[in-house]
Amino acid sequence: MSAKTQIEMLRKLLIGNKSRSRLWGALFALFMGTTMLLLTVMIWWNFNELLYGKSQYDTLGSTFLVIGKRITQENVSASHTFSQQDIDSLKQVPEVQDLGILTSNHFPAYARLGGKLAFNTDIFMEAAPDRFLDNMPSEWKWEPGSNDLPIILSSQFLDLYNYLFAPGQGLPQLSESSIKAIAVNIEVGTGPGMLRYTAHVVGFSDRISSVLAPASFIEYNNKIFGKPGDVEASRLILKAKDPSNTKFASYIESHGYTTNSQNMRWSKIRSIVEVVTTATGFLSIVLMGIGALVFILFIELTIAKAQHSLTLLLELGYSPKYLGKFMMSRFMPLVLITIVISMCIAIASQLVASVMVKQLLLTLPVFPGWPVWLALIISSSILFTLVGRAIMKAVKNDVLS
Amino acid sequence: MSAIGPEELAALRSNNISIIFQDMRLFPELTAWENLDIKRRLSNTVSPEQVEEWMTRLGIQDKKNSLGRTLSYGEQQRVAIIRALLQPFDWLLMDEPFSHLDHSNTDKARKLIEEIVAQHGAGMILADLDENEYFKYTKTIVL
Repeated sequence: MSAKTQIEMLRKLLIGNKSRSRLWGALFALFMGTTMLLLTVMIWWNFNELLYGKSQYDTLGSTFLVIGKRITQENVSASHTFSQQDIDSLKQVPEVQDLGILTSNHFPAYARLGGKLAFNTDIFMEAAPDRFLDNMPSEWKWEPGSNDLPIILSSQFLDLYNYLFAPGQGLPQLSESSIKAIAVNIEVGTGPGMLRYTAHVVGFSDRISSVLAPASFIEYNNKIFGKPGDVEASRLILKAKDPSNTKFASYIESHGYTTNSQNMRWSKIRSIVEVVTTATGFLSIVLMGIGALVFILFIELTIAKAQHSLTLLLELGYSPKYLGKFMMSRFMPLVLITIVISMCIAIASQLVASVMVKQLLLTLPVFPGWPVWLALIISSSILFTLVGRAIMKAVKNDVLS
Repeated sequence: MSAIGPEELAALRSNNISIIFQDMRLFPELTAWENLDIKRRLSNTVSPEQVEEWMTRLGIQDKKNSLGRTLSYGEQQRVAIIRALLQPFDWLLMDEPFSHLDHSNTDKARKLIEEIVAQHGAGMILADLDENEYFKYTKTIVL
């Protein structure tokens, strides 16, 4: 006879074999609650990563808005540039996550192209901080003295040319790659100081409707050809959390700024997603609570059914602590296995989610983030405490009775 | 008793005071041997061989593997008596310990109890309704 025999006898007396189906039912409820909680925290965290994650500047949670000052009949003669005060005030708006100045050219610029597509025209150019560009070509750099000038063109301009201008003028339609192959001569300034560059379109932007040149190029030529003091920002680009926010919308309206209002509408869907995720979170906490309650009730029922044996064991001299520890040694591993299986499911789900969002050109970490692990630690600590307390309380109640 | 905690009470029950209950209180789902072994393992002061010898002395050796619920009252009472002797004690409390035993078995049980109580140098307290005097009592109360 070994110590195993004693444990086997206690198991026979206190737990029995008759409640197997109830035990599985209780464990299943606990498993469902834990899994739902972990998955909900994971979904919430993943949405947060996609909407506001630091790993990617261009997240789904942000909208980029280019704003300018509205020009009306009344203010047509006034300045339409943004003062430092305007910029500082905008930075204080809660919805504004980042702000960049779009610097326009304050020098005359002229573009020439020979051949079949020959044209000569005055042009404008603008520079945006690099972090606001929706794509960053490797050629995107310019240093004083360099003759090659990279240009990023608005995709809208290409569409306007291909679908409106070219058919009317009998000109060939152009693909992005064929535009990139064309070299355009750019002349900057006038008179003997005029500078010549060879420009190439290196990319297209869906975000900023403009002809973009590197900031170093615009600043360099503005210094040479511009007048001191006239390089105030005419347009700003904002990275906004939720432009559909009414306070933000009224701020834009009350200050007489203009922007693409379409952008301000679609982001409402993100607010809805947040509400749904939060509601699911509460629901899963309730589910986890019910799962834990079912399991604890099962333990209490098991102890209540074994009350006769428990009382007699205490009368024979078994200590409540020893019997409590014995009960815990039977139930705690089951709780632990349930939690481990739930966590494995959460890890597998995260892996699947990260693969799936990759197809949508988004990135998610392969492993669940810290909030999921934190939820695991907190929920399992609470669960272990509650189960432990329920067992000890039931055993002690028996002593007192 | 209410002044001491549950752990102290458990220690008292397993080391100082042993009880033979009138209603036997065996575990019906355990065998006669398991009923004894679950008590023996608490203090481990009596060897399994010793237990087997006592079972033989009280004539229940052949019931070793019978479940508690299938034993007769007399057999249950003999198991309960042996069980009470499987621990160290200062006092043995007995509540009608021979109520289901015939004269022969009562005598065997009485001898065993006397022997073990003497080994422990312990005292006995017996509650009994009939006029039989099973044990030799000193009829003096020392205050």
